Amino acid sequence: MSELFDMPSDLQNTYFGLVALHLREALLPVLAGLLLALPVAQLCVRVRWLYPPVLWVTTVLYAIPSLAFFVVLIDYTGLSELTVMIPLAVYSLVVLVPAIVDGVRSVPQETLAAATAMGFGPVRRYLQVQLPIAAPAIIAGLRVACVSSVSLVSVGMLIGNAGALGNLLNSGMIYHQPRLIWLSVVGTAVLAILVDAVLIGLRVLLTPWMPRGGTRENTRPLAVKEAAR
Amino acid sequence: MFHAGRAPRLLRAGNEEERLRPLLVTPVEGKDLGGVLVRQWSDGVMALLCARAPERTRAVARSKATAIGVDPEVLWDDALDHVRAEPVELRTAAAGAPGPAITHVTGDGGFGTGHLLRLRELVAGPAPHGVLVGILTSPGLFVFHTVVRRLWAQAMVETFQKLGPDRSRLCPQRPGARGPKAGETCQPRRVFGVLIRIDSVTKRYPDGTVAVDRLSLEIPDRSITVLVGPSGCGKTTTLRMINRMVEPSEGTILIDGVDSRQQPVNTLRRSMGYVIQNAGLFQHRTILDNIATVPRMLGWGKEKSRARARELMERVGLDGALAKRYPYQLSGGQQQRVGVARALAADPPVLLMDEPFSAVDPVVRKGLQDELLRIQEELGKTIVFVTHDIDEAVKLGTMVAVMRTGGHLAQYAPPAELLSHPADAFVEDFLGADRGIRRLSFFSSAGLELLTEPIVAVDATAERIAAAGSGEAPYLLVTDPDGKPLGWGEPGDLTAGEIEAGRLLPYGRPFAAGTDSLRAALDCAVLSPTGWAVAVDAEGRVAGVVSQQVIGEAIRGAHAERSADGKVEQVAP
Repeated sequence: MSELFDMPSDLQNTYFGLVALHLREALLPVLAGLLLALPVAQLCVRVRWLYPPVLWVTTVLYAIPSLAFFVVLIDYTGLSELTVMIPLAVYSLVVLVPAIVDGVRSVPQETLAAATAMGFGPVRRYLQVQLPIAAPAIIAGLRVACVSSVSLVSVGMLIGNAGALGNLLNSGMIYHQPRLIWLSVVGTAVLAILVDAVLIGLRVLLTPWMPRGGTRENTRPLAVKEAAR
Repeated sequence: MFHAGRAPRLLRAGNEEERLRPLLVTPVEGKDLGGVLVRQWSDGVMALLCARAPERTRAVARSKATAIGVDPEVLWDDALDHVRAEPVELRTAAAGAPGPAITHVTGDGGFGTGHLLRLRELVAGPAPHGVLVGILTSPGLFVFHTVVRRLWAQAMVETFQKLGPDRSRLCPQRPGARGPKAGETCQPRRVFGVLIRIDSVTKRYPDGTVAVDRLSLEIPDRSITVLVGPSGCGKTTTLRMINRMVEPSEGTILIDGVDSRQQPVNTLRRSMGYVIQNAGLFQHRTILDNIATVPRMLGWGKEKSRARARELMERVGLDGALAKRYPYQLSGGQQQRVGVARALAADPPVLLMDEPFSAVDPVVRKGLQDELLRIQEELGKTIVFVTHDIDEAVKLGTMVAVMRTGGHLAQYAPPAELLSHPADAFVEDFLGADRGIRRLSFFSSAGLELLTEPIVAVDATAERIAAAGSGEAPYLLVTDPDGKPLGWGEPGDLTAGEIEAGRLLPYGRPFAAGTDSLRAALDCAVLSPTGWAVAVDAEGRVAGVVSQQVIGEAIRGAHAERSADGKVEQVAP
């Protein structure tokens, strides 16, 4: 069994070490992207005309090939993980900004009016009303961003040792070892599915207030009772 | 108001040696309690004061009472052992109104029943001039309030009964007293103090649209004022200017005499409940947390806020089991109840309601309207209510402001006056074609002369049927042995012992004799194929029958009466 996960020595890592590295390189950029997207999105919500140009810019950034990014970034950040993570963070914006903007905009007008009328200041209203209600939309965006990020990390192989499971794929091809290729491909896919599952779990945990198929049933008798009143 | 150098005496609790001075309790319009009209059981000044320590309370009470212009001869300083530290709420009486001779000051919203009973002894006791009382307590201060109010009302009724018909004795007797002198009759004063005064307010948007144009409105305290008009008449804008969600371009809005711009906007908003169409609940919070929102913001603490929220759920008729649920699990009507509870949570003196019931179906809406009237009866809030539905306005409003497109006020009047004397063609048109019929809701059916002669039981004898049939009524109403109506039959068709309920003509929907309006009576007569209305008592037994002609005469009579004392209708501004 242990032979299955034996790694070539040039990777300088165990299989699970590579998985951990992969995860870190995939998720840190999304986190950074989220931190950047939140203020940008809020700006887009408040200044409506800003949204189309911002969307345009993020799309254009997304269209830049990662290789081009690397060429530019290597001068500044060298052959490091950071060089891989910066483009990934930029790419995540194309999903996260619209997700947050749409989420925040989906808060019903009357809810906002009610919050204002109850004496919520803008900051409190954003943190306590808009953001929590936008949470499902934001998490949906995060899911797409995380999964795509997990698959994109492999590109880091291009600049040497920063591709994690991507490097494993490369090694497999160099050494003609299908086992390593399988480990890399299946490992990446399983990782993406697991990250997605965790985010779904997070959403369920954070939004007990969302209508769900199962809970609808308990409400029916109440509605009937109300009608009978 | 307060004369320097004449400090009020302090009465200790239970000191019955002290003679209570008579004072002014003006009979005012409202509920009839044993021959005395008691609307708000306190006339004049209400003050709720509070402090932590008893010694301080007395000083604070006196200074507050004098500061708000109450000039009591006696300050009743009682219930100190129960004083709770609550925020102080002060109400001033209408400017210039004489205060009561006794002001009872307490910080305890539910000051003990024991104290009340002691007071009642004093009230019903041998004091030569009777009684008190202008009292205290914040409207809507928690559960005790209703009990307190009821006891006071009872005490006043007993007093009035003791005094007999000579109401003049209720006027202040002491020399130089405010109000009418001995022998003069007490004229009812204004019932409400003005709480919100909108003073030539204009809202102009940057693009030049004028939403509200030099609107002036006095919104009376503790009543429901309805703003009604077609879309685009500026009614919602007006409402939103009161809590400054929209800032007026010109003019001022005075809340309790103070410019609304003088306090921080969020403080102002937290002092006003706001109910909106579709409720606008926070979908991510439980019902309980939704209701507790404002108390939490005001720093009440989690437990206290939630306890308050539970209390309010009960008050608005929500099942406590819903507390932990989320808004999506509730029906529209329930959500709207939560909206009302949330607005009431911090016990604000003002409630702003923006078309709150227009998105629910008619049956639920009627329930919510009745509930609102009940809550208002209990809590005495100043409610400003926006609607486009004139029926809702007429049903709920103490005063109704009809607005027309462009933000102009077309008419501001009590609903009965609105229906009887629309100011112009616009108002008349807006009231709809059947305003005459609708106005009948304000006339009681109590004066109708009910006939009992054309009523026969299903097991009546032939003689009884013959006797009943000889009267003026062309039909006879057949009842079951319990006296409940079965239907109409022609005297000739009815054979003793063989009356079949299935062959009788339907009797439509009966009206409750005395309690229903003439509108209900007329409706009943119109619905009945015989043209006769059936009146029933509270148990549903037939109280009598009445024809369309008689109802018509009653309507004419009521109209004549109204126009004779038409001035009464126009008391309000």
